[in-house]
Amino acid sequence: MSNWLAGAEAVLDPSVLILTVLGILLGVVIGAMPGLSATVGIAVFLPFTFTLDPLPGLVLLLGIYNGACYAGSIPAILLRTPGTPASAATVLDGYPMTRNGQAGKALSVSLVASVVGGLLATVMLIVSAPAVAEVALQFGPAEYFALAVLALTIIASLGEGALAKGVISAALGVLIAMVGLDGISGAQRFTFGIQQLSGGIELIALLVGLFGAAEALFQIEHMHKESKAASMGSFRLKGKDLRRMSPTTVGSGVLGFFIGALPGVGGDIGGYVAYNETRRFARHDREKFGHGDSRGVAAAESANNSAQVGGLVPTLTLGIPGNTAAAVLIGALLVQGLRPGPQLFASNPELVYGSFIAILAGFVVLLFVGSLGIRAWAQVIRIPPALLWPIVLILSIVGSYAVRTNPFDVVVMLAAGVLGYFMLKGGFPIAPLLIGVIVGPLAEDNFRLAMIQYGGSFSWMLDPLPFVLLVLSAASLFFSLWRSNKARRKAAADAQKIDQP
Amino acid sequence: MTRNPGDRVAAVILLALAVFVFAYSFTMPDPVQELDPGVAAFPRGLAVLIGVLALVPLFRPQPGEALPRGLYAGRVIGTVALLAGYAMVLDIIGFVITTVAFTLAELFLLGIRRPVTLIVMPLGVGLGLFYVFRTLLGVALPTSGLGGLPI
Repeated sequence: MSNWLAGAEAVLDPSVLILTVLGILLGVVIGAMPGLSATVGIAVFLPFTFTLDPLPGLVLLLGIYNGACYAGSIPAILLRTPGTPASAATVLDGYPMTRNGQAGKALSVSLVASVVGGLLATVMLIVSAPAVAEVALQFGPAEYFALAVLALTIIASLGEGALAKGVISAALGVLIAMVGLDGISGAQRFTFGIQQLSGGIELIALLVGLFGAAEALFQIEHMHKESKAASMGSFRLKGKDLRRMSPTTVGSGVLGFFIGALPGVGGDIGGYVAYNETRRFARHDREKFGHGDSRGVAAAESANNSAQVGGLVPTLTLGIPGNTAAAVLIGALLVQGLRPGPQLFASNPELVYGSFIAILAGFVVLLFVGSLGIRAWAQVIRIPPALLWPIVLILSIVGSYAVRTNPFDVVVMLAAGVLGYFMLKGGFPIAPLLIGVIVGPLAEDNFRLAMIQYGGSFSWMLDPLPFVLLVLSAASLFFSLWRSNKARRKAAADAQKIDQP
Repeated sequence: MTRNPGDRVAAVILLALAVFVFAYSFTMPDPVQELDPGVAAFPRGLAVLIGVLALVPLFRPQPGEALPRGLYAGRVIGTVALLAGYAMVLDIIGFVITTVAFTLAELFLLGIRRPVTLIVMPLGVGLGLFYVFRTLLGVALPTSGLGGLPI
């Protein structure tokens, strides 16, 4: 109880309250702009938190994290272009609703479902996270190594593109994390006599480059599409509409949380799974899905917001990112000298419990901000990209420079931006690389510690929890291989049908 | 989406990286503790993993997006060049002047020709961000001291 009191006291500070609202506002604007995901938003706004205390800084970023996830649905519904990857499934019924003249209703459904899904998930986070942290205190090197491997294999196998490219990306991330001092022996690796590399590659510069600058370069290249205005229709939801979407919203919220709590799995997967399950359960009118059924929007939005919050469970309790945006949050905490993990609950209860309260408050703020400004947020998509992306680039520069006031980090950011751009062009997913950078040292250090602890034997891999986690890791890779082989066979069969009419 | 010629180029680069990392790992120090697999074990394993998996895009390239040409390539290359220039002169001529110049050049590169936008936005971004970061947030952005001004 005292932890909750400490958290509540910290949140009641006026600066924290203001930053909670500001974070949500920024998140909504960021998410509403196609191409600016929560990850990019958090990355470019990181420098604003460097001089803040940990809780106000984290609260601002959490507001962006959750606000952007909701607002990604705005361009998904109006333009058929998800503002964030998490809103990809929202397009399926959101855009058909716009074509049917129901854009306003689709936006209202998305807002209500996002808030309900987010609130449900926050309650589940509050209940589960301290318990998981309690259990995680018992984990040793073997368990942490297996968890890191699971996070890497899931993110590598679930990402867009081929499995091989996902695993290569994750491996490159682990390799990048090795630059600098070795955590166990103190030996220098991959520094090539460059003094600036002896402390390792600066994480913030790397992630700002990979997500901010790379996305800006990619969008600058594609900057020729004009957005068209859509007819909004009524924004009002009737009692009948709310009753119809309630079971879907609640069910998808619960499902999304558990999907999001898996290491490395984000709102995009949560949204798709919940959408498919909702469609499968609708036995009598399944054919309406894909043609503008509001339940489709509710399922996708409730689940993706819920999954976003669920991603905070492994992030805060284990220090293993629940999704890419959460990986950037870990970077923000590390800059503040805080390491996420079970010890954080004991050493900084006001930060952990204050964050929980701020997330709850943030969703209430989102309901007001969303409903009062819903017409205004729909206009954000019309900001000319030629004005937007130069600002993203400048914020990327400030973000990379400000951590250590070192121009070398700007060079690192630029190199990461160019690498990320070519990865985007070549179909190499970027998310596994970032997760690799963050969990790579966890995997390596704990592997070596486990080997030392077990006298040079691999028998620790057969301990119950590491064994189960490593089997799950292998299963996720095999499942991804099977899925891509199946898709390839189907594509070949379809091509054959076209050739032989 | 076309069959991606870049996949083969990427595969060759990855293979070269794998060979380099594998060879470089032999220059790393031996383990201090007897049972520690050592600092070279993971890099060596990753080099093998990357090398083997690089064969997939080499022999089975996936459909992908072609590299930009003409105007679109010019925008990307120009932006990278401007960013490189920014990184080089930031500490010398300070944040405000560098940012104003970068924003102006970038807007021009992206096809903005309205004089009002070209004047107001670079000045607004440069001075606005400088004020927010340096004055409100206390982030030490570099200054030039040009004309005795604190920018």
